[in-house]
Amino acid sequence: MGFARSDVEALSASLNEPDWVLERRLEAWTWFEKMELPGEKEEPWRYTNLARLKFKLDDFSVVPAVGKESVVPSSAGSSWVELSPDRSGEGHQYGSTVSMTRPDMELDSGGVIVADIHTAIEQHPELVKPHLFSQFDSATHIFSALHGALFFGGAFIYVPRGKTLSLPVEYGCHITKAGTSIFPHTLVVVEENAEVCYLERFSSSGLGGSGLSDAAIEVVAGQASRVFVATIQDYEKGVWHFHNHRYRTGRDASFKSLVVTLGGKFSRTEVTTEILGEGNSVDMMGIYLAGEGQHFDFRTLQDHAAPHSTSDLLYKGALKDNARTVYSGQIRVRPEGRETDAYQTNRNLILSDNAMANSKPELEIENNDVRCSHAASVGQMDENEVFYLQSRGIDRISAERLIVKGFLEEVLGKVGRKDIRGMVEHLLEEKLS
Amino acid sequence: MAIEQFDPVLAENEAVRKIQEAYKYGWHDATSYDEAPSRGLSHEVIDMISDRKNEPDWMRKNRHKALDYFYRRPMPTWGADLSAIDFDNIFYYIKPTNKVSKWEDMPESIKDTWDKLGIPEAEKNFLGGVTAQYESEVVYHSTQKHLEEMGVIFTDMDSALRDHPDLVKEYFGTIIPANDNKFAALNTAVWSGGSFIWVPKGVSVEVPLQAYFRINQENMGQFERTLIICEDESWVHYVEGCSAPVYSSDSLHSAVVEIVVKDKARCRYTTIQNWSNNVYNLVTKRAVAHKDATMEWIDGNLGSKVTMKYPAVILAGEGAKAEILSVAYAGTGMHLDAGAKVTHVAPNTQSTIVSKSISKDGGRAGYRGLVRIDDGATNARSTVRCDALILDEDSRSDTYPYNEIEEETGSVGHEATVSKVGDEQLFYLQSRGIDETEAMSLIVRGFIEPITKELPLEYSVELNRLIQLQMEGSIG
Repeated sequence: MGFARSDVEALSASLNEPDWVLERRLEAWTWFEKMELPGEKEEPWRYTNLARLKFKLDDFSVVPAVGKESVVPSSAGSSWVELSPDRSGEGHQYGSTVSMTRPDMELDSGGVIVADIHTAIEQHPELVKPHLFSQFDSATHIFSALHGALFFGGAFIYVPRGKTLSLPVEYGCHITKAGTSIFPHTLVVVEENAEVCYLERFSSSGLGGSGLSDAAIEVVAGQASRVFVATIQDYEKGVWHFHNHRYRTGRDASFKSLVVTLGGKFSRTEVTTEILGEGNSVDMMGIYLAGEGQHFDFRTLQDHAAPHSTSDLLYKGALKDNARTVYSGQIRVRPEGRETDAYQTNRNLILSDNAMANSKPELEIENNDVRCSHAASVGQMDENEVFYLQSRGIDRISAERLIVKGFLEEVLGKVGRKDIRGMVEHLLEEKLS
Repeated sequence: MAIEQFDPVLAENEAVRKIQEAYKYGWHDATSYDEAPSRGLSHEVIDMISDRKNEPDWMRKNRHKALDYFYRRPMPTWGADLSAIDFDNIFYYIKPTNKVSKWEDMPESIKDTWDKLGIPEAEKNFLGGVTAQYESEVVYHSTQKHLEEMGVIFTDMDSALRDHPDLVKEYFGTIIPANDNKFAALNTAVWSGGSFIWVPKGVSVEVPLQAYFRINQENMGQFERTLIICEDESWVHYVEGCSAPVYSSDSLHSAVVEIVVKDKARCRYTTIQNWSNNVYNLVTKRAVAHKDATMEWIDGNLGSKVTMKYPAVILAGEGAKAEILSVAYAGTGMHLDAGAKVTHVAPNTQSTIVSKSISKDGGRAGYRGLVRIDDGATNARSTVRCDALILDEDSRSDTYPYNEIEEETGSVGHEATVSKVGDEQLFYLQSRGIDETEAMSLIVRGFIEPITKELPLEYSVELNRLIQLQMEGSIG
């Protein structure tokens, strides 16, 4: 068990990769060899002690014999909730297989590319090379280093100038065997005035053990583009999930991200939005339901490096049993960020005696012409609300469920897309019942 | 600027007019010291201090142990940049003169300093007692007779160790242990001066007790140690002020303040820190509040080069309350990393933190705070409110709040805002015939009003005046 440099070389060779990709992998591997598991002494990991959670990298290994196949297994498992039949593309990775299918009619015209990342590296290096790992930094911590060395699978989407993909592109990442790991890396490049909605889902079925999921996504949202990125993590309880989101937005872009975290034993999500163009409108949304034995850790950054932009972050979650959640987020307004409006809110609803939420919203403001605010709260259910519902003949359990739904409704109300919203509602309904 | 409108008396004072451009307390008095001081830190220096003070053996041992902690602990890498502190270039102990209890007996040069600061005036008018510390030692001390008759002990720390050794030994270092942090260790090793207050059961000290701290020598390190014990159902208000001359190289102020507030007692601790902008101000302040007790920190930070200070309250008894109000005003070259820490240990405890920070002329002001609700602190409530004003494009504001809630029935709310002075507000005031500088100054003073209204009148006037002076010339 564990990982070795030979894994990296074997993976790259089996994918028949160009030298520049192998070089990046090996550079990341060098970082990996130098690094250790982060400890509580490191500020970004202050409330997440992996050693105490008994995480060991040696418990995992790569999936043997990775390769590309276009076979889609018939079932993605019972926990899989279908989005809707209408999609601009659908991909999956199961262990060592990666596939991407797409209905041709919408795509063939106008140069839209929907592919898996390895096909894209092979067929469209001119589009991939400038952006792949341009935001993602393998040196951030040991998990980003391991990801950089062993990334396998993930989608590549390219939407040229003026094109709109009205239906979502969906990509599912599945862990199929206990003790194995997946490292999907997705790259979405949206040109000027183009539009896309991307949905990435993480699941497992009948795993019967632990798994490691170490994923990353990079999005380049061009001038006046409209981009929606949703990720839904619904693993079984044995999975450790690390996910690094890197978003970069150009002038007048409208960008939304939604992070839904429901499953896994452990989930660490890092979301950075770099606002590089004027007049951006950025929404960052998060929903989480944490229960027995789960530890979720969210880390966000709204980085305003350009004037006249708005960013609004809202992360809300409910905790029950002995769940632990951590939210730490920062708004950074650089000296160039004139007339920035930036907001950040994290709210936690505690439903049991043993649940615990830490919330750490930060502001670093280097320009005076701004409006920034943040708010965080941790509190339990209002007994008056429960009482009111009970007085209307609703039993306590249903009343609590209604209150949790109402609590999360504020986020769902901002989603704006019916298809995504409907699906998330459906998943929440299942989890809460 | 129309200072007349705010303060006609002040406006008539020529001296005030002259100092408006410069730091008000920035002069340096030529003082001849009792002994020639020497720089640097070592176990020998500690023996020297301990010998000089003729201390009991436990304190000497305590100091040596703390110095080892200091050597062992790394410099903090978070918060402000402390890399420029040269521990070998600092005077750790300077004894200016012997303590006196009559103002007239003070050496001319030192008396002059306090006169310029207006201390004797203040004492006469509104204080229950005064301690004045110059460099390492308390040089003047007096307490009103009737307080002494009620059994209140208000003295300097060195005298307390001599005259009330059992009390000091019982509490010293219990709230802030020597190895709490690097600078608490340093203070424990080389502490000198500071105040000791003991308020007997049921006694209310109706007038504030005050201490004034002054650094005069370049590269001076001032390490006062303050201990306040409020017995059951007592009440005291302690006020401290600080200033120093302007030098080209840096001085260090690293105090430790420990407070015990027993059942149903209330303690308020007010600081107006106005160090010159070459002082590193790295202070550890912590209070323990027992059953139904109330602890209030009112913390005004207007000066220093670097301040790292997070007044803390441990709510150890059921029903205890903490209130922390903090103002930071950072100008050129200043980095104020101020904040608050509250730990809720017992049930039904409450805390309120209000922080107001203003940054201007390239200054950096911030809030860094921790609210922790331990498992078992049922129904604990905490609210935190941080507001920041940034007055120009070169300045910066940071907010780093930590919320740790381990108790299901606990609730914490945190809110923060950052903004500039609104154009509409300025326009409105200008349309009423108030010029821009003055309008700006009015808005800033309105912004910090929640704090100033909690200060004794003389202090709120002083704070307003300081802000008024700092606002001078802030409109380009």
